[in-house]
Amino acid sequence: MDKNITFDDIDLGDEIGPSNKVITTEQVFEFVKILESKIEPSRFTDSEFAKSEGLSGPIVPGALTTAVMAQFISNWAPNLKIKTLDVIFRHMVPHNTRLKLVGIFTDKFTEDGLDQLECDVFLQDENEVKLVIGKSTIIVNKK
Amino acid sequence: MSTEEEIKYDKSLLNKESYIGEFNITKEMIDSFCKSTEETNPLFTDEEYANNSEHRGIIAPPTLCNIFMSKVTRPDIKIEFGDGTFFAGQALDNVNPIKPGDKLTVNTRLKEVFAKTGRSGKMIFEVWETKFANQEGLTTTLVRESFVHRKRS
Amino acid sequence: MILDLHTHSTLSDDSRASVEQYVKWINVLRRKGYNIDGFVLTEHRQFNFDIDYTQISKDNNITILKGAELDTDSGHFLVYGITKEIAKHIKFNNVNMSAIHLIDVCLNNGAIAIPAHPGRFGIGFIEYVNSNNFESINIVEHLNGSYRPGEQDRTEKLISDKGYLGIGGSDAHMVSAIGTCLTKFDHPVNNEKELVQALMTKKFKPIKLEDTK
Repeated sequence: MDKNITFDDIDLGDEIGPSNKVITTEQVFEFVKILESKIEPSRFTDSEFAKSEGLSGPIVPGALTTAVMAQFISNWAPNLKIKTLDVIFRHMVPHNTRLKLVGIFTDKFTEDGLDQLECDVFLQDENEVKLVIGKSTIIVNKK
Repeated sequence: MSTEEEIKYDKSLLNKESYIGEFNITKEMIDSFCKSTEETNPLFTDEEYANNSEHRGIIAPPTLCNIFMSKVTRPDIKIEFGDGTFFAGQALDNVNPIKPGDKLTVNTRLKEVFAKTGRSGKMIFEVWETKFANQEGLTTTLVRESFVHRKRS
Repeated sequence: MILDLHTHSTLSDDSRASVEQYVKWINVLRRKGYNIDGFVLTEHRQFNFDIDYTQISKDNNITILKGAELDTDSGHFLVYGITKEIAKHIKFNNVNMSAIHLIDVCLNNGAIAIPAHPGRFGIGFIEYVNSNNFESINIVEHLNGSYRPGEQDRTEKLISDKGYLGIGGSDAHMVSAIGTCLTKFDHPVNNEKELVQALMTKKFKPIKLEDTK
């Protein structure tokens, strides 16, 4: 975790990351287990099930992918608060593959007395194909 | 079925609000969520730090509501197209923080249905807007989700 | 004159960038030494005659023009020079629109339809080029900012096999993507009519952002 940042620290074009990431099968199971007492076969947890749906293998749930993208931003500086996160899934995210997270600040403004940043955020595979693209509005807390 | 007007589905559900469930938030749930996403921000993980924050205690990470989205049953809009449905995207708007002990009530409504073409051929998208409100009636999170119906290759 | 000929604002369902943010971002790129004169908004399956970007364009010295990206039975087409007369002959949101019909309507009404991302798997013009008589097509989108691995190679082959000319467009759906691929014109382009004329005269070439420094 990096240190707190101030609104003035950020210029448009500044980047977060890149940060390398692998979302493991264990993580997917951990995530699914938050609400499930027993893990049922699904496109997220079972290879055969995923193949029966025309996928090459089990995929990371969209909700976990979104959470990882949020975590990438909120862990960059503890005083950043995610107001909105808007993601588009362009391709499936497979388990256990090398991924890269990148963020880039595209706007900054003060609204309703709150200092806010806008950030494009991308989850890419090792060929730099953007699997998930997103945009976040972030409030910069003073403290 | 080439234009939006021609897509066959139950159009009576457009913009009609439906109650879809209630969820109790626990500290354990937040801990498990942070563990599975490798979240380390002390606002969500460190009680002592969080007690000194503006929220006076642990709050949930900004996408926690997502874990409930897969548990809710939305009304069936009876789309007559394709043989596979996938999650296409979502927008989360965090309005008020979620805390351990909160009881969230969830309502949803169908916002839009439209057709487009892409690498996997013709696709139909359905877009839902879901509202989470806490026990005080305050909206905590608005979630806009889109699902794509397509033919498996 | 350097323009990004393929961009989407929040009017498109899958874009998250506003026109104002694109303008801010182009100013950021300019400060970094890149040279971009403007962009064309090519929203998916629609064209709005009422939206006017004149003021923001003037305030920032950035040319902002309007076109569309339309779904057809032979892939997506970028359409420039759309008029109300053209709107009488096509339904913008018809995802099964005949490409031949679209091309003819454009040719007869002073507009131009250009295959977008022709090398894209599944939906690119390369999949359809031999399935119909597309003899009036002589320009395709050569550089596209949203290609996956392999798709640019397919585009190069198509262009080489058919002798097409090429334009460049970022296919931006996010703010920071605008300007990654562009088209450099020999002559000024200040409005949609001049854009169509410039494309007809064939004095342009596709370039990447790094080539503008």
